[in-house]
Amino acid sequence: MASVFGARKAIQQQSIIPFPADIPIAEYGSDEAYTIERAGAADDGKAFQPELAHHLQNDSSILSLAVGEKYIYAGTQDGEIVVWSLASFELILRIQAHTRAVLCLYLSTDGKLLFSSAGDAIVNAWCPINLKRQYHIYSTYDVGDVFSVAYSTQFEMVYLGAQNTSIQWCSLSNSTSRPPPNPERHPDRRNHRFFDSTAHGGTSTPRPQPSRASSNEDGNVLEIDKAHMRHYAHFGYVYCMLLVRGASRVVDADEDMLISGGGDGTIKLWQLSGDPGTGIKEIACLGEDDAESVLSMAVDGSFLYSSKLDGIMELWDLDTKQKLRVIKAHRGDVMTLQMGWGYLFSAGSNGLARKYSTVQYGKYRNSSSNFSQKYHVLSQWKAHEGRILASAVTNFAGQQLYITGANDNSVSVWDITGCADEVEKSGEIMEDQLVKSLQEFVSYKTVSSRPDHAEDCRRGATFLRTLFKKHGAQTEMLNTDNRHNPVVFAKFRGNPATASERKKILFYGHYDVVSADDKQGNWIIDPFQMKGVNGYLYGRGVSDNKGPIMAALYGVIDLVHASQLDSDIIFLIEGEEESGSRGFKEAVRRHKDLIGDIDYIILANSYWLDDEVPCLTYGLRGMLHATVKVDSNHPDVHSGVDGSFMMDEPLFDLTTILAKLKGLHNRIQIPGFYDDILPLTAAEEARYDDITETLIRRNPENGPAEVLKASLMARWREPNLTIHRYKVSGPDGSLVSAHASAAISLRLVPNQEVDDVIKRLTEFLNDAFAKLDTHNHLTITIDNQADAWLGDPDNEIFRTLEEAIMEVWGPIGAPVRRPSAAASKQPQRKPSLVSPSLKPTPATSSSLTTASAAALPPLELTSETPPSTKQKGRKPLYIREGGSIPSIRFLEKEFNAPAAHLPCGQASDSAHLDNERLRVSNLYNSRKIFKKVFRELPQK
Amino acid sequence: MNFPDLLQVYKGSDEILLSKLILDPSHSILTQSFDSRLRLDMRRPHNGDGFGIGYYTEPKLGPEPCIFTSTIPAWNCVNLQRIASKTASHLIFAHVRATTEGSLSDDNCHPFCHGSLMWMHNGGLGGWKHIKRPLGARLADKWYLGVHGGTDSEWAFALYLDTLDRMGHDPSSPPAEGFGPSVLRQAMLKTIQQINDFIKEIPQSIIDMERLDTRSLLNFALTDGHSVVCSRYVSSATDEAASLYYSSGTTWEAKSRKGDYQMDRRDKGADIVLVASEPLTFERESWVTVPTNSILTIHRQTVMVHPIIDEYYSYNPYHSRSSQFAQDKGLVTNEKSASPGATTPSTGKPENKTHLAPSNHQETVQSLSPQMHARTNVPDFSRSSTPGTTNSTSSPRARSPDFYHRDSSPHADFQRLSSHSDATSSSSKSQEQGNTKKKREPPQNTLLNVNSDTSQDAGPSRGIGSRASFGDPAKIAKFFPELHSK
Repeated sequence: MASVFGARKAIQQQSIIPFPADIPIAEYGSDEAYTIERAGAADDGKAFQPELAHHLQNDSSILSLAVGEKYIYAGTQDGEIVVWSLASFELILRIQAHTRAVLCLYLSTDGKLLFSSAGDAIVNAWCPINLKRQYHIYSTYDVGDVFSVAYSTQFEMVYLGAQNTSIQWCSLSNSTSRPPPNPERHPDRRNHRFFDSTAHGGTSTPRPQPSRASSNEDGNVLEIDKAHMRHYAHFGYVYCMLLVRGASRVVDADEDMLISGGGDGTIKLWQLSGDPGTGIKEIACLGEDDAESVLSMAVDGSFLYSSKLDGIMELWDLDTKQKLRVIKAHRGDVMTLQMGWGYLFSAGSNGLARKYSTVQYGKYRNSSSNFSQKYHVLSQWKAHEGRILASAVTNFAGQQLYITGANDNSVSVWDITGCADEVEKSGEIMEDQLVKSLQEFVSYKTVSSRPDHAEDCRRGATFLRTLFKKHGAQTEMLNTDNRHNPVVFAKFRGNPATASERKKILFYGHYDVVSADDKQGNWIIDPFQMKGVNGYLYGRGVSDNKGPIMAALYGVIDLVHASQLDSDIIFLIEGEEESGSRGFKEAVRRHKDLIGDIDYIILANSYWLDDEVPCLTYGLRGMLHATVKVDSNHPDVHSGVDGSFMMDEPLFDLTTILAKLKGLHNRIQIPGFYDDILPLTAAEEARYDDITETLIRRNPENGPAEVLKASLMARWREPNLTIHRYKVSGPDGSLVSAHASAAISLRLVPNQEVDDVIKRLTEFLNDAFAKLDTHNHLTITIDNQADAWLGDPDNEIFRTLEEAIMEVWGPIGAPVRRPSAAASKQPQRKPSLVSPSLKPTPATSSSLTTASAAALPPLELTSETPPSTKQKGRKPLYIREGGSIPSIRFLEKEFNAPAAHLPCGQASDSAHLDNERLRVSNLYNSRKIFKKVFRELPQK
Repeated sequence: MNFPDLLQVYKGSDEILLSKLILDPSHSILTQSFDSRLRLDMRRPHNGDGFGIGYYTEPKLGPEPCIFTSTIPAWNCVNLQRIASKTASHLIFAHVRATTEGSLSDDNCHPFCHGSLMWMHNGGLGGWKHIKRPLGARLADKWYLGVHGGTDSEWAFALYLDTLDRMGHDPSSPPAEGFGPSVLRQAMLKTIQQINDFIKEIPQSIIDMERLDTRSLLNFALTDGHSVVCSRYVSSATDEAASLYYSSGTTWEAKSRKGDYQMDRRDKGADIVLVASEPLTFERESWVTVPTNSILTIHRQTVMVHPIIDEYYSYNPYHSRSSQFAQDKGLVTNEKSASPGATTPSTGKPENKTHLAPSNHQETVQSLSPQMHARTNVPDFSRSSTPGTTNSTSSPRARSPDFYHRDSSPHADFQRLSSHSDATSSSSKSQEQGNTKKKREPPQNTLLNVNSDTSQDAGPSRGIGSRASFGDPAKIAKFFPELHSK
């Protein structure tokens, strides 16, 4: 390959000796060239595109990243440090760490201190667990931006590389060597000839309030001694630093060594010392003072990779100080390099990330036997829309994660698991398999209400059945009448030894979803391309009901792999739930022999009351949809020409009789309608009190308690009647329509029998209509009906679920400190001025979630307490729902088995709405709950 | 002399509208011209004696900059407003002038240019009337005749052009990609050295008789349209140079209200670099001081700062300089720690200082030694050098100068250190070298040859030897057999 450096004198000189003109320069003049390169390398089948495990959106550019055991730390343009959980990708914490962009984050090798450096000339050190500030370090020099920071745990010394070309250092242990901090020399305070000068009027520009120094005084304030600095450490900005050990024989293998890369294009190796007076000693300088900035470095054994301007990467041998290789890697600048698992990752200003095979001098050296494959691009992908500025690598839960941060204000987490040859696929199921299955499940557009998606529904059902089968279940496709979507049946058989007495648990769910058009562009993603964003999985059906199905399935799979499945688990997953469960009953009845006896029924098709407190649902309202129609004998007529008191108008008749259905305070006037409702028991009332107390403690705006309680009871244990819409036959204008109809529905509560209510409703309307003495005709049709359901919160299913929830979710209802700033952000809800009624406005499901949607997550970043000392929290909330699921009562009746309902998602999941989502931690925890319940329920 | 001048440089990866730089910012050069904060010459606080802008245009219009000068006060110039709001460039020089030397004339307005080269100066040459003749005498006719105005700044530019020419780079025919930052920087160093040499030739009797102040303030800015070099220099070990600040970032945008500009960082890049006598904004985090006696280089949006190491340079981290001199000249410096008039270190514990100064001195010398920057090897001079000798120099004439060698190595500014080490270990030789007559000899003197030999021939061979002496060829060969296939 030809040299790309024809015009560059410095490199030409470099290549005279010891390897003149034959430095292998891998040249790729354009990004397209990589396609060719990869095509050539593709015969080994290793061309690999990593999966986006999660996307974390921020509101400002991400300049720096660090990753610890549990958390991803990101430094932003606004001076914040943002912390996300690696387990759930939830935003854990956001702190204002600096007043300007955070340019570097460095987690000490022992994981005890997180250092941040910024454009405000300050270095802070934080506790990586709670992000409390431990140290606040400043220089008395005008250092400008602090581009890089590193910490030697061996010497307990912080090193900072700054814009003013200096490297400075500060001992965290040796307090005697430090001058006592003088606030007058702090960058925030010290007097500046220019910035504190006065204009001719005698006034000076007001100094911005030094918020960080005055309001946040925690941590030791350290002033760097004037002598503890190496001016002109480089002749440019000190862009990057690495702290390594055993990388060069120039320094003892057990001694920390500092490597710095500068804007002048040189890389320097520094010998360190525990004595701040001795400081740093330059032991080698690699490269030329040619303004080809060294932007990032990565070390593999004694090999150092450095990235420079214009996509140049260089490989240096630190023992011999030879430049071994020059690679033209990207078209733009390579902003960040990472070594991980024997591969080199580069990412740059064009938003592309690339993975290279390397010489692999470190512990992965054995896999480099195929010499010709070195520095091949194994994969490249568009990682961000903007410039990629930072990256990190880590292992978490069996996954290999490569994390990138960019100025498109986002962090992307790439799962590159399995791309390394030497990683054997072990038998155990990897954590992310669940997410991957769900992602594929979501990709089937199983919209049952739309005929054009019939094939998609079938394919979704087939996918599901195949998945069950793959994991050892006996499966069938139960066909429904009228070619509606089939029911997927799957049966996992428990331990054969206990075949006779083993219990049988039925899990009911549905694979169909409501439609999701993104014509308005309201979705932040393609609704059928599931994507993880900020701790949530977004996609149509993730919460209703595909996510819970996958959680239940993987709960069973976990038990199968652990050989702990003692019961039979039967899945009945239907495809018509969103369309009134068409054909479900018949299909179940037809295949009752196949399904067999059932001891318990579990479903997971609803949501928590808010976003914080796990719940169990023990009651659902029933419903009755009816159409009331009034017809006249004449056609549509003109109201002026033909209208008169002698003309009976269908719409007027209809409204008259419907108006009689409800009286004062919306009380339904059907005689005997309320007679069958069960009286409120003390136990039941206690549950309501419990709910209101919990909700109000978490967010006082939900109060007052009595109003909230009444509102919950009205929705859950009181029936209601709704007029949905009127239809008339004529067009707009001065017409008397010949036909008028109304869609009405009743929500019924337990012990109100639907058939009974139908009878009473029909009678009531017929009576009322008869009294009108009208020429018109009344017809009532029942469109849909479902019984209410009331479970027994004290039975063994609920007890088992309760225990599982308490174990998996940890202490429930522990007081949570909410950030005051977040609380003040909440909009003040004004009392309605429109309604003349003095009645309290009822709480709605959305009003309970607005608080948690607006507020930041809990501000506590605590290390997980070990299970032994895990504090037993309170029970989950026992809730009921105003909605209806027709199949639950049907299944109870059909199999004569008790049912329980585990809500998996949060109130803000937006099921049926745009941007439906499910929190990652809810998915994982639901899986754990199912695993535990499926294991322990049969033992009850 | 033009002390209360103001200069300003923009270099960006993108074009910027002149008005965003010159007119709009809260402390733009226009504002500075009547509200200068750092120039306290209260007799004439206004820099109202003309101004100039120079900027490079699209390549198709030629490599030379467009220069617009006027003797009208900048804030009165309606043409400036018109042009600035409709002109954009990647590289802009701007200058506001208060006449102290040279008449009020367009010829005397900065920036000056020759071909693609453009020059500004803020400060003054010490003992100007005594060095003007020798300076002119040194110049080749071409450069001598090119001087149209009467300012010391323009003569300094002529000297720079002459220096560049003598270095073998014809200022009139620049390479397509410019002369390169090293050449421009080296020529700047030599020019400063030459000015110092002229001043040193002023007889002591004249200085005594006229109570002549021979100190120079040499804040030069030069560009060839590709790279920019800016010096911040004073020929004194105890005084502060005239102020110079720089700022780099990715966006230069007005925040909220008009004029409230801010340099922002969306990444580590330096898409925009600004250099200015006074900051353009009151965003204190955005502006960094260019150290006294250093050269700032901007090349392809990379900023570098190199020290100018001569007898006026101090290695002592506790060393502080007095701003009195610059202040007397109507300028104020931008060092924060130095209180006016202070000549002694104002910070640091004395007992600590005596302990630290030597070691730090040594280290700094080591860090700057050519060993690290070029392939020449130098004796370990730090041990033999006496701590404090360099920074104890208080008068510009007290020590014989061992300024830069003339050689064509791109690292001449560091090569100089090797001679510095010679000087400190052998003062007599240093005296000889300090003889400016000798230094005036044409560039083909023996010193050059020795040095160039060292840097171009001896260096690499030594490099091989030292490289081979450590490192593991077997390891390299294992992974890179092609390197040793010859």
